[in-house]
Amino acid sequence: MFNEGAKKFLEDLGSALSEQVIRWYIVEDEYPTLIFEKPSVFDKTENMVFAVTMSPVEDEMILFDLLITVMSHIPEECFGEIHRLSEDVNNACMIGKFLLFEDMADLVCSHGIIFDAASPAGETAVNIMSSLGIMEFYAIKFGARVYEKLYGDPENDENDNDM
Amino acid sequence: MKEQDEKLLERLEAFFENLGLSYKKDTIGEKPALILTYDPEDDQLPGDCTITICHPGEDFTAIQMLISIFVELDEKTTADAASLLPVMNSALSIGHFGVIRDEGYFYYNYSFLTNGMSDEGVLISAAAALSIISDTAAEGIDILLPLINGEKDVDEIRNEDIVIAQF
Repeated sequence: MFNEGAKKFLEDLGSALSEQVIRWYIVEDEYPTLIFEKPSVFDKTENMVFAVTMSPVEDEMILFDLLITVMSHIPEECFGEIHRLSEDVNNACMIGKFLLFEDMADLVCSHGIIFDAASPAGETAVNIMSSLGIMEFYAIKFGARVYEKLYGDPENDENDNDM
Repeated sequence: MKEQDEKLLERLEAFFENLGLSYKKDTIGEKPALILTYDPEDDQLPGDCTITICHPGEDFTAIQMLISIFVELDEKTTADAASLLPVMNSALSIGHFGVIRDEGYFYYNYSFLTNGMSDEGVLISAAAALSIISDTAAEGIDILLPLINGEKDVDEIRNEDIVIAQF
């Protein structure tokens, strides 16, 4: 029952985003996830991948797990530096946190939000889209900075901590 | 915008007061803040929780809920404890642990946008969040405290499975 409603919500979200994304689709696991991709502004070889997972949590609440894969294939020798940069940026970010998953060498920006399950879908959608927008802004800004550290000569050279 | 922020904070104040939480009002920089105060006689909060209203962009409003967990740790302990934060944060859906290294200050923070939410929805989300972040901060303290007390070193803690159950 939950999954059917969640899948419908995520399909509506994906449909609303369709003109802004390269592709979108739903993955049905234990709970449904909306995946969509946008071109990366700092790495032309990879897309930025977005994921929105809905799951039921305690007391009639819904957890939205938002995740953006900012960059993949982070070299192992750079893990320490990226952790430290993420720590600094996380002190300044208001929405989302940056994490380096060492086992996959992925830099991600993630954010969980809990909603009253009785909230109207329209209100929830506005909030999720707004949160994704802020996260994307941070991801592009921080991603460009990390890309410069790793590979140099970025197209976007904004590199401050002013999130 | 300042007036709207103050009204939102007043609604939160009334709401948490009704829940029986102790609080005080303060300002952080120029921003008004509501501080839900740690009471050792009950277990509702593991530390003071500072609530402020932020604007991550011109059209966005966020509620920031920050729990201080350790202050004024020495440089080595701060560096050791900070090295565990990425592992701890990777276990979380809601919020993150952070450190201000030059102050030896550790916190747990959760912020969420209120855009699109009704007044009631904001209060329900804040109340649910408070319960979750309070438990999460307490679990973070339990993980780091043996290091801070010198009972375990970083490798011992890292080699244990760091699990933080938020739900």
